[in-house]
Amino acid sequence: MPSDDYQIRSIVRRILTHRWIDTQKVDFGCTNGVVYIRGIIRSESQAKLMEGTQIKSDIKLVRHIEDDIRRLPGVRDVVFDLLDLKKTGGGWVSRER
Amino acid sequence: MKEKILEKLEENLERMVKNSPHYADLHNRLGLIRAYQKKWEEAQVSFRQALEINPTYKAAMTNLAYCLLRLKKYPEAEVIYQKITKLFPKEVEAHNNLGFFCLQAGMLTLAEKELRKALVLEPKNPLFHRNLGFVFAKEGKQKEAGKEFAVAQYGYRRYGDLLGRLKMIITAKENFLDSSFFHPNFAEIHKEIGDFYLSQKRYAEAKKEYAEALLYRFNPADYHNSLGSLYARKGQAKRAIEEHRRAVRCNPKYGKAHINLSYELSEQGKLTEAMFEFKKAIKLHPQYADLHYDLGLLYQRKRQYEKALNEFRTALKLNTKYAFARNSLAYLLLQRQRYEEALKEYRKVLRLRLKSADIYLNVGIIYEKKGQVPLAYRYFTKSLELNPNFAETYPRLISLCLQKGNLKKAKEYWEKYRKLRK
Repeated sequence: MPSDDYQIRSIVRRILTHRWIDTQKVDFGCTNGVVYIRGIIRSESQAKLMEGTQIKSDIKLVRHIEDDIRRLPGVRDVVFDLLDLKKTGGGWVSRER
Repeated sequence: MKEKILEKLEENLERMVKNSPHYADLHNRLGLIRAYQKKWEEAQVSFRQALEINPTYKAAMTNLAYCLLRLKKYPEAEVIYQKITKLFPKEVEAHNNLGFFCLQAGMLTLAEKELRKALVLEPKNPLFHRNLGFVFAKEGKQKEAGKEFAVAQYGYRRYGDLLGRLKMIITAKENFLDSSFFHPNFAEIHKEIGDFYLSQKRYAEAKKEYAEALLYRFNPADYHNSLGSLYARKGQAKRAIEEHRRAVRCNPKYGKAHINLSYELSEQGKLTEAMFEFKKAIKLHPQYADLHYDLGLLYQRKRQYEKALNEFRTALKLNTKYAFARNSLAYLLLQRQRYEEALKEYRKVLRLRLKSADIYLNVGIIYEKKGQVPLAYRYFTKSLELNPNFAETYPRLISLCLQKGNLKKAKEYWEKYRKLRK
């Protein structure tokens, strides 16, 4: 069966843009139904208003995005590698840099 | 409605003033109500009466000066402002107001002097720098004006007021500067404001700004592309596709529009058309690794595996650290049973710090196929360390444990697998 990675990646892109994520700060890919997301997750409006200040991911937004992606048919796993957040025991905590 | 309320307020205040004519505050308030109704002459009288009662009443003085400016009685306004600045030398707003209105009246030397005084008190205030910039621009001192606007811009950015910054540039340009001086493309600013509104979900205002940009000979392709993105954000896919198509028609060499159009088309399941647009975009931007990666995935979806492998490799030539493309390449090689090549690519993927239970599982499978069981076992266990809920690893591990005769471990994994399946 051909892989649906392309479809999943385009839906992930749509999820990110619909949630107004600043896509310049985040990279994403999909291989064999596993979605990989790297970088910083924050909304575009936050990015514009906070111009020049320290950039941080939005934990609430990350949770929503994870839920949205996990619900997609064909998704086997979602792997986040965020610059400032890490997942420990199911919850998100700030990563000390 | 608003006018009626103001009229009633005025009547009440007039009555109160008649009853207590010695309260300066009442006269000042009456003046303000009249000023709201743009009855400048009557407002002026009220403020003067307030000042007769209390000659150092700051608010009444400022209001009177403003009234006089509206009545275009500039010399009188100037006298009042000077009085304020003498009585209250640290009243920074008075210096700024005096400076700004002197600027409007064309008294540029005095305007510069007052604005400089305001800047001594608040050297980082972007508004004061902006006004001083206007003074210089009117005097024809383009270099100095540019410098002040730049400082103001920096100040607005520091305050996070992007909109203020952009509006300032527009006002500056509309009022004083020639189009090439401050910003190379005036229409771009409207577009930028439009983008800002779009990010704030203020669609109507964004659309208005884009239309404004079009008036300033803004590239129509860019306009349609922005509008397409706006519709895409709103979830109106058909209209988004329409606008992106218009953008492409306006400028067939507009790569960004081709890319957006291909994404929209693929979301609608129109893969052949999407591929056509991708190819066009790649022709225009052959250096974008991301586009090659997407096209590779699209070929993979259409079972054109060799073409997919080529696209992934091109993406990796352009960006050797593109972990996602390398991972997809490794997976496709594994699918094609080219284990040695796949293993080589997976090693590079792990070096790029892209880790997942699936990647370790796949590396384990390759070792298993090569007959290197201990290594396969190691990678399967690593896969579960990373994600104990990754069900697909368990059958592999159980099978290896059974091969090794380790029934206890096999049973343990079986129990966990059974729980996950439930």
